[in-house]
Amino acid sequence: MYRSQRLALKYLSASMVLFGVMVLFGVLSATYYVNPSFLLDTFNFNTAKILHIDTLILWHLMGFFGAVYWFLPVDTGQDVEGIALGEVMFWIFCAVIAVVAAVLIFVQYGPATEFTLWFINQGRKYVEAPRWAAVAVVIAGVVFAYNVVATALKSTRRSGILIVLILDLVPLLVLYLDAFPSIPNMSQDLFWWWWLVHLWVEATWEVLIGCIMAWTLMELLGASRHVVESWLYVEVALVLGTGILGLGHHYFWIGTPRYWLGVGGFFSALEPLPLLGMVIHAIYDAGTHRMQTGNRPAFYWMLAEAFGNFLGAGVWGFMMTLPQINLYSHGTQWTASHAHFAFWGAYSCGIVAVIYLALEKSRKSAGLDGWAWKWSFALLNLGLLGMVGGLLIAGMDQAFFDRALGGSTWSSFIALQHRPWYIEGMWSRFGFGLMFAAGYAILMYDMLSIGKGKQAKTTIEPREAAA
Amino acid sequence: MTPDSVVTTALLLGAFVLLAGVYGLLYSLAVLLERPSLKSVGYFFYLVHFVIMLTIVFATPLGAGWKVLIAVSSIAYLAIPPITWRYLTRIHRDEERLHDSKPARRAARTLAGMGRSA
Repeated sequence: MYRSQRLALKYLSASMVLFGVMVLFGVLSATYYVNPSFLLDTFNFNTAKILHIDTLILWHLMGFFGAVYWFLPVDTGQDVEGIALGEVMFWIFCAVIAVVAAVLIFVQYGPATEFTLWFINQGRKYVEAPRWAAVAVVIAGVVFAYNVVATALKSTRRSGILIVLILDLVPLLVLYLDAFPSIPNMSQDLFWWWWLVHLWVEATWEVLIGCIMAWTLMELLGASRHVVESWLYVEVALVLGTGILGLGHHYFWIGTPRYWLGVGGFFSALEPLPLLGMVIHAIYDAGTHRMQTGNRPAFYWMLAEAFGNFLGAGVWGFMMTLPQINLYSHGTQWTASHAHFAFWGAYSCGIVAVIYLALEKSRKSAGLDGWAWKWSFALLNLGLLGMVGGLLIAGMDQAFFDRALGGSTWSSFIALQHRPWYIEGMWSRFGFGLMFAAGYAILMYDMLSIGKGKQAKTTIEPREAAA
Repeated sequence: MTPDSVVTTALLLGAFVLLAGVYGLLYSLAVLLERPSLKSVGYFFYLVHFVIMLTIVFATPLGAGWKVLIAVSSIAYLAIPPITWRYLTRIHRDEERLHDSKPARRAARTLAGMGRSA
């Protein structure tokens, strides 16, 4: 095993730990909705939510780093350049996350001063981590980019996947710089902030996961490089073509010019089209290989990625993306439903697939199977479907009564909290959230144990030797 | 928009994409498993999708521009599964042809043929 792959396993392990933290604070956040006085004056709802959504970003980011460190030496035929620096950065990255989490849990917030921005909380959704920590994330990103680019330059093998990945690293790093400014004008601040949140998620991350899935297909199913690269180029072109200006659906109601209604609505309406192509691709691959693979967990998680992406981003997104609907649905639990489903389908399932692949190789296992991955697969996916279903019902109730009928006033918002459908939606989200958490626990059990007692044959059997 | 039409239109839009997905799924499975009956079921779902598109166009308060976009994208949804499938088949076929033309593969086939004749 390459040294880089050992680092990959550390990153992937850290990402699974953060996944657990995200689930924990997600369940806690869901608890406040069904019991608003829970931990009153002890632990605020907003802190639980910050930890839920920030760890969401971080576990995916660590998962992506881990996946690239896993595949890069395989793709280039050599270990990663500057890997020692990457290893040091991993521990710094973990330490930064631990310190930030401790500050957010025990200090929570501070006065409106520069000190608070730098050392406690920036107060900007998804990038609440104080500035010193944001600087550390940039440095971690630069080291990661250096590892990738230096390896590509040193290697004689530069695949199309690697070149797409390197091109993607530029916006990945540059857009994160949007985590820093704090512009007093809220419209201006949100305008640039969405460049980070939307363009990371619906452009650069899409390309990154496209590269990772291309490598996964080659390793898992033995798909040919020419085929996966051809498809990657088409996919990247379509996703970027619709995703970049799809940014406009966040600009509808933040004080930007009116033309964003047309631009955002048009490109967002096109976004489900390439996602349908991905579903067809998944079926083609599954059929070509007749569902035969030694690593069924990785294979099923990869299929879940294609279908989850189509449903979460495509169907759920299209329901609420046109401006006339979005006027009422924007920022309701409906949005939360879409966000949960889209993130899960587009990224989370892919990272879990890569982890199962890495476990098979690192444990030199002759295939992975068993009961636990099936239970975790079912509980996680059913739990997620239940959560997004509950949030959708609550969100539609919110759009109907609070927004459209009530005119989005404070009193209509309070009245909504007593509406039966809203309350039932929140209870449903809480219950299915517990199911999701149970699925996570089994997933961890499975990842710690799967394939350990089932080593691949590496020596010649006596019968074969005699022959 | 009335409160009722917000929810109704959103549900129609969701069903519009979902049914296109079901059609795509069934179309692909029909080709993969060589079962034309599945393709017919797929076309039935596309028909339901088409009816939903007509409902969106004629019975919802969306703007005219959005309705045109939805009508055009409905045609795109019809075309995506066969076009994607053809493209995937072609790149796989090209790859196999390329692979088969390699001298090592030819030598392996020759050796295998010799083994059979022996």
